[in-house]
Amino acid sequence: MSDRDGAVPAADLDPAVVARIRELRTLYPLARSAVLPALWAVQDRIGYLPAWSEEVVGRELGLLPADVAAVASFYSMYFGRPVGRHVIQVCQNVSCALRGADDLLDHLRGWLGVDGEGESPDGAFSLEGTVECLGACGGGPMMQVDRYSYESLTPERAEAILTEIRETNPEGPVGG
Amino acid sequence: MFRELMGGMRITMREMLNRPITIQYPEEQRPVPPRHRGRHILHRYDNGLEKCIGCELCAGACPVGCIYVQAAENDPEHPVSPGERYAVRYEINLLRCIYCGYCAEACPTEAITLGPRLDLVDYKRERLVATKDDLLEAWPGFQPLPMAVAKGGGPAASQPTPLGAGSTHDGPAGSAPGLRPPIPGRRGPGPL
Amino acid sequence: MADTAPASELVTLEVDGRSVEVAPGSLVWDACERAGVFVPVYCAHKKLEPVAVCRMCLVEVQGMPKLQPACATRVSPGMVVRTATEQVRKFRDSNLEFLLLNHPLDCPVCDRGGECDLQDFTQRYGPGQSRQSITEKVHFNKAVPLSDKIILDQERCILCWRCVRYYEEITGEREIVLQERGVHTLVDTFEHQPLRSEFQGNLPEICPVGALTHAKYRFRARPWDLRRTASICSHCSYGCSVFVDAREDQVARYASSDNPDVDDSWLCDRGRYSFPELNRKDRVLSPEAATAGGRQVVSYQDALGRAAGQLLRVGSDNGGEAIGVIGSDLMTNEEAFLLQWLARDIIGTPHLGHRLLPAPEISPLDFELGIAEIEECDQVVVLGPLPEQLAPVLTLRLFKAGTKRARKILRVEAPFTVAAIRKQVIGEGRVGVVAAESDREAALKLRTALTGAGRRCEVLTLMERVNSRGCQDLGLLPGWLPGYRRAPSPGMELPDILEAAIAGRIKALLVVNPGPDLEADPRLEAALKGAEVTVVVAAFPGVASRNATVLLPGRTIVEKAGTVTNAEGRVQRVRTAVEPKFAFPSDLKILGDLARAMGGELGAQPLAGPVYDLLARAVPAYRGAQAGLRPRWEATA
Repeated sequence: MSDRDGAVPAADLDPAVVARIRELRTLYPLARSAVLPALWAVQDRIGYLPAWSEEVVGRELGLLPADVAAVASFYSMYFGRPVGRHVIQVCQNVSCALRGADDLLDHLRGWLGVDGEGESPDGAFSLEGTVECLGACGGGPMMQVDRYSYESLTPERAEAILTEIRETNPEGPVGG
Repeated sequence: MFRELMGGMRITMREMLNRPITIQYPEEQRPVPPRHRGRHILHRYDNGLEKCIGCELCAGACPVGCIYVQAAENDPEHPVSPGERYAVRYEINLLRCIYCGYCAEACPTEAITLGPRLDLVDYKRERLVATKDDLLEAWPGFQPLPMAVAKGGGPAASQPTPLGAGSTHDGPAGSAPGLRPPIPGRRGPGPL
Repeated sequence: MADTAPASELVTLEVDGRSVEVAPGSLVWDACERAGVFVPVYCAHKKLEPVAVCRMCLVEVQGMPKLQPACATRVSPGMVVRTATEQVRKFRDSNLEFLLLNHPLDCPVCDRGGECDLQDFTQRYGPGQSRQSITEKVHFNKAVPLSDKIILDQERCILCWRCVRYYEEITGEREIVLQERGVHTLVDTFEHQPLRSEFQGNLPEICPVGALTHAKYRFRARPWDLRRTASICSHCSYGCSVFVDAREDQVARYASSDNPDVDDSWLCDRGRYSFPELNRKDRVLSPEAATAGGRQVVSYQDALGRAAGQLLRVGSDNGGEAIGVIGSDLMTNEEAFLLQWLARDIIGTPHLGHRLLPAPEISPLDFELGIAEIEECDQVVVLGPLPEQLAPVLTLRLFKAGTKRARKILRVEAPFTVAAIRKQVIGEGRVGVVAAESDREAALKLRTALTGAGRRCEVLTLMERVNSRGCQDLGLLPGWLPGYRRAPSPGMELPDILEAAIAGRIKALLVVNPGPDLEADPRLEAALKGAEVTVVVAAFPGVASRNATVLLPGRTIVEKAGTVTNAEGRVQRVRTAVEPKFAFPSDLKILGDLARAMGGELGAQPLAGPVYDLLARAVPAYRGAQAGLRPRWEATA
């Protein structure tokens, strides 16, 4: 999260999201427990977690922004910078790696036109390079697009899945 | 007794025909063995940066405590040495030094070695505290006072290279000022 | 804690074949320490709760299949702990190799090199070499300023959480968090905001490696250059124990030294980073005298003779009352005692003082509450922000009392009306009142009210400077003799002495160790100019030294030996940490020599110890207290 945008928008969070965070706060005995769902609520709205949103979450939950930032930076599912409309994560751990995750990743990079990791030129996809195990070791290699997992992939199958997502969900993330 | 006398005279007669082994020191000087441990030299990298990082391990290793180092932080724009730290003062009390070479052994960057110079004499004790200006080689391979070195050892004496515009001598690297004016009438640019 | 529990409740266990008894609930780490077995730790800290993240302290416990962290495992009866087995040795070796995987190994340029736990334990338990090539290491940022005081080297961090926990448990400010995860984990603040805490200086000390370092100590010295002297922080009246680490004639840093009764091993930044003032190059280096030919450097004997002669002349012409004696709260107890003796008996003047704020009514009972006793009070009333501004470390003690001991801390705002505060003080137990000296009266009224209501209530008054309390105990005041006995004929307070000198009623002034507030007072210069004779003993040039007819070089607090008394009345030793740059006698001997030159005798050697014995005779409470004890004033007052 080191390369996050420095400019902090003056705009505050959508009141509906703030209301949701306040509601989440009441569901847990400890305020800290509400950090994850609160961050989800923010990210679903904005698409990523700008620094000022962490301050808002901290304020609403009675935590320091540093506490919220620590949690947000720990998990690979929260983004500290703007991402494409669909986020692709390819598992790189042992089971997937043994069944060709590296080749799949290389292929996707070529197919999407992404160098290393980042957004594809058309802005439809963000390839979040390497992530650790996503818990689908039985069906490696696997990738996660937004909130859905796709298992037992071949480069062709992955292409087909992504093409379909691009056409059926041009607006935003699938799932959630 | 006569036999002994003759034996002695034989040596005398033989040596009379040989060339004298005395030399006209200091005009003439003998080659110094390559591993001779004389006065210390602080080295530079080829790009002119000092090898010394001011870590004081030499001072820590020194059994007689004759080395004093004061470190400072490098200005990233005009570094004196690679990395964060350099020696702003580096002084060796040559009178106290026993030339054991532990400093060279302790040095993590091979910045300090013991060189060929052995004529460490002066009229004032204070002048035998060598400062960084005395010890630092002006440029890699350059020795301020070219000394004959035995074949195969040590860097060859080359022409002094004037320090360029990008000299690392600029800035706060100077050691204690005014401690040692050069002694006139001696060879070389400085007393040490 | 093991010492306080009754023997029957102790838990007996075996550590490396040695049987030890510890209190129930103790950690295996404590038991190992008790048994004299050293266990290496990084994340564990005596003042912090265990987290067991560094895995360095794993030991074998019989009956448990895996190694257990000694810093987080509680003892149980009959436990058998082994720390010297092959399994433990192998684990430590591997753990260190793991911790060093991405460590930059830049010990030669690291400020911690030489006193680093990572270095030491690697030497003792670690692998001789790494299987990881030095070129393959993952690099992070070096020399990241977390504030103007603290510099972070992200590569050297071993993620022990100590700094994070320090901010959570000790100061409660929670400024530092660990961000990211895995190999990318970093110690950082939110959005790289600079640290704002007043207690940042403790971070480099709790950091077990060279990740957090002091900006003011950066590349100043290596540990083997430093000469360590146990002394007292000279910045405020709280009297924190410190180690003065000096390199040659310079103080390189203050390090904290754990005194559980006072500082609890934490220092404030104001005190910790106050040492550059003591390294000032501009000093009074030699005796000087104003002569007919202008101001000259003179010999010590000459200066002493002139000072004595001038003071005697004024004394015989105008009487002793024409002489004013001004000390300061930067003096040691011994110096303060000698100065008031010199003033009263040899110079013969009642006009002496050390503080600009007059103290007409004082009593040792203003300081009844001890610093550590704050934790024992059920409620602590803090009058305004001033006490914590005077002694910042007090904040940490209050936080500890509030969190770890669940005491109620009541910070009240001015005006301090007894009735309003009285309403907020609830319950039955003991009440502590912490006040600044200027709010002393409000604190005493509150105590009277609460004691009247049947509560046990004590007051702790915080003062301005390191020995404000000692100077008061030892009677460096016009109205009070040593030991809070009333002076038979009170003299003028310090401001009045200055006014009298300006008006010409005071003809001579003896100024010893003028403090910064006196130096800043505009009346001082006029007073010195108004007096005919001004004998000054000063460490730093200033208004006093410039206007002296005789000037003698004084010493700073790190160049002196003696005792000082902190706000709670604890008498603590200050020791000579650096030698002054001149070879003239100490302030103590100057006072003795001056008395002798004036034909008197202070009966003391130039050493602080014998003078202390003398002053303990005058102030019985001080007897035997010089080793860091609090005199029992109740018996004498």
